[in-house]
Amino acid sequence: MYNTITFDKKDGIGVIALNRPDVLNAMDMVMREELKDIFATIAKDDEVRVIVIKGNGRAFCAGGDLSTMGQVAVGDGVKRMHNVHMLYKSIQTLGKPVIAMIQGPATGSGLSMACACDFRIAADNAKFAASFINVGLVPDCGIMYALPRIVGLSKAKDMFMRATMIKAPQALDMGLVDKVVPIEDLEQEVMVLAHDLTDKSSIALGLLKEITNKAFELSLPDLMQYEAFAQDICFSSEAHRNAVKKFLDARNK
Amino acid sequence: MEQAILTSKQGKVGLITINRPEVRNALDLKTWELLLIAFNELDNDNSVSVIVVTGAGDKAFVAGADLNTLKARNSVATFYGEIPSIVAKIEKIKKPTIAAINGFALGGGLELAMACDIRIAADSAKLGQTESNVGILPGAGGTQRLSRLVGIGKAKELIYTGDIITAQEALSIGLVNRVVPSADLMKETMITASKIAKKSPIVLQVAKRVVSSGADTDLASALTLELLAQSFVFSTNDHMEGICSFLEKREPEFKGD
Repeated sequence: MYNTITFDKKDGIGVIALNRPDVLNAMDMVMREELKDIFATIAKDDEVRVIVIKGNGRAFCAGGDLSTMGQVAVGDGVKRMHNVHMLYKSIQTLGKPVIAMIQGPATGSGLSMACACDFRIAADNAKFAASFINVGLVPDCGIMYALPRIVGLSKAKDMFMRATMIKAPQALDMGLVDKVVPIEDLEQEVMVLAHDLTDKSSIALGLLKEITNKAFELSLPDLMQYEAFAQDICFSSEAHRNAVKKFLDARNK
Repeated sequence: MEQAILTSKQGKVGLITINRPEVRNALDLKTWELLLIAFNELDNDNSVSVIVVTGAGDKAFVAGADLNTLKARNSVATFYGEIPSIVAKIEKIKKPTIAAINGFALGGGLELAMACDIRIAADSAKLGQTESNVGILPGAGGTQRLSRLVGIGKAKELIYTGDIITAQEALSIGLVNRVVPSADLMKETMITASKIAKKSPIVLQVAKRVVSSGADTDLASALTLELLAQSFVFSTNDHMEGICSFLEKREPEFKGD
């Protein structure tokens, strides 16, 4: 069905694999469109509760396909950036946890995509760079928003201005990734995390993701309002009622 | 079977007609989805510069939602409901959009009209944010877009009372841009749409984004956005064509590049 990606779902976990391994999964217009499409499909599919994004071959994603740049016509540039933004928004606004499973390079918009995800689990050979400046571009796909929030403003600017290459251990230190494991354990580690998340209330996960993503922008009173409505919704959810009943039944035995 | 959403083109203007006059063009989820598809198709059609949406018949633009489906809906389903995001996507259509309000625009119908850039109303049209009459909120942007158009005081009054107002009152509070005789609605709308369609498509789309985004942010950030947008526009061929044609006293031929 897709040319540049594959999608499989099992046990509540949807796995999106970037599938252009001979070009290190470089992102072209087709891949961006297909990713937008699969995210739209996943958003409506109740059977998918957690998403994993990975890259086939030795890389996660080496960024935008340079063979599609250098001669970008003005009208196309506007459309291209719109697509790029829609991809970032698709991941951020998807009310389900998204895990980036990273081996090898995650550079350029590959890094942007990883930063848009809720979790980043890396193999020990992973490496990260905001390589945009090397081709005279600003960092895109929302990464100027996401990266400072993950690693702080100063380190983000260093990565942006110098395209600094960060290896896995340093990425872990900086908080850019949540965990680093030997490459042979990567898939299993990610699946353990994914399965753990499939056990949680999907409505609560979706609501908390939406609100937490805004936490740095909202004032406390505004956030409290969101929190209050969100909690009211959760109080009326089956997941909450069942969990409380289970707890009280166990305690009362 | 007649289609619920009809699409046609007149020159560079794309026209969407909501075609369920037997239910006063009420929108259910399926019709909203078809409506969004129609908007997207015209938005992606390079021969179209401006999109107009109107209702079939002379009684209603869109007279509300399908109440039976609302009855069946619960809290979680409402949170995951798609209509608010469809309306938000309509608001984010890249090309200029005009709602030609031919009759009743109530509830979701008013929300649809407010998601468009410009509202032109027939003098017989009536408008209202009527959800409080059925015990719910305006849930497709009405609580926000109404106050941004007519001010908080008038918005609260309309939302609390669920009142239906005339086109003339809507004009006086800024809810619609213009009121025209009913018989002339489509003619007048097309005149405005065609005028807009003569401009550079890039400028139209950039102006839409800058005005919309800037309205939600502080002045300094919005002015930065304007500056970036203008700098971008000066990299286009259209800006050259625009300035040269004016100096040469001839009609511009904008190509959208």
